[in-house]
Amino acid sequence: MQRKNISGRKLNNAITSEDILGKDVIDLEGNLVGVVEKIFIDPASLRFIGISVDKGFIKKGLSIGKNYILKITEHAVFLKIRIAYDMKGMFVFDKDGKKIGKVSSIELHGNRNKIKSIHVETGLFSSLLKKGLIIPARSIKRIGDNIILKNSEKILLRNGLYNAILQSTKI
Amino acid sequence: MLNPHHIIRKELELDKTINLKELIGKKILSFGGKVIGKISQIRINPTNLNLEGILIKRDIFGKPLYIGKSYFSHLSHDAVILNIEISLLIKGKNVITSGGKIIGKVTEVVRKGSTNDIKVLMVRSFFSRRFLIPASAIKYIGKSVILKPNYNAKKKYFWQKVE
Repeated sequence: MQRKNISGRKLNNAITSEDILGKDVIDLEGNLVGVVEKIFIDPASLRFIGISVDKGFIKKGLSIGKNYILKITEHAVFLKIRIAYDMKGMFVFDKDGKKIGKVSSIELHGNRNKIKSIHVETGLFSSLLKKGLIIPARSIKRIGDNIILKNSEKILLRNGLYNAILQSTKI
Repeated sequence: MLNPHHIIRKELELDKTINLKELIGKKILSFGGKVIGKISQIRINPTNLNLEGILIKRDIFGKPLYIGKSYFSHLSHDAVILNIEISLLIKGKNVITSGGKIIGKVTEVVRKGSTNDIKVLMVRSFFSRRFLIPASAIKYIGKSVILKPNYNAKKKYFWQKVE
């Protein structure tokens, strides 16, 4: 039986919440981020503003704004970004390929997906004492499977970047 | 060690060069920072004495890789960084259509000769459906292989051979 329509517009091409909920969320790199758990709607404007992603058991959920969604297809929701939080656990190498450490946390610009700095554990000692390095986003050359920095460790040391960082984290 | 006498013409000075012996055992990183393996051999051209490539030892299950110097981006005392992502390592990655459907995993990478350029990907799903996906149909290779829009993956039949 045909459903009656009093929406004031054609809804044939619109998608429903059922079409989105439970769908896979895939980032720019083709990484499966999780599944859509909730849809956020602005109560004032009634506009769709984002989704909440269930990343699986144990992992914390993630809210993603509408601006970061590329498209919603039949089987998945594609993002136009790579999730910055997924950098956690990546290894950090300097320009020469020397291993600096492992990303322990990421600091973002507000609620955006823009990286401000990464916190790097340089070894077991630093992780136990909660100390490490803070590397600003401007020092990052490339993010792939791991992170490669723009400069060599020596240059970073010479610029006093690491010293300043160590002092700030010792507090 | 005492500073040696230099007997050179146009060559680099000693301190500007890299000791190849010290490079053995050092890491090889892909363009994106993936650790490919460790250097087991460094090969030079016997005619012009130029560096030609390196042999990479991978984990116990991985076949060794020989990579030519044209794929090197940066060579240092600590590692060799490549200017590519090794196409052979796509094996095992999910293949996703532009609609977000996972059609299977890459089971084989067919390259153009011995280069790193992909010719065809062989993809197999859980239910044994096999696809041949040409490089032209690939939009992006990252954690997964994402196909271009409106590409219909063709099923591969047993009489079709991949060269």
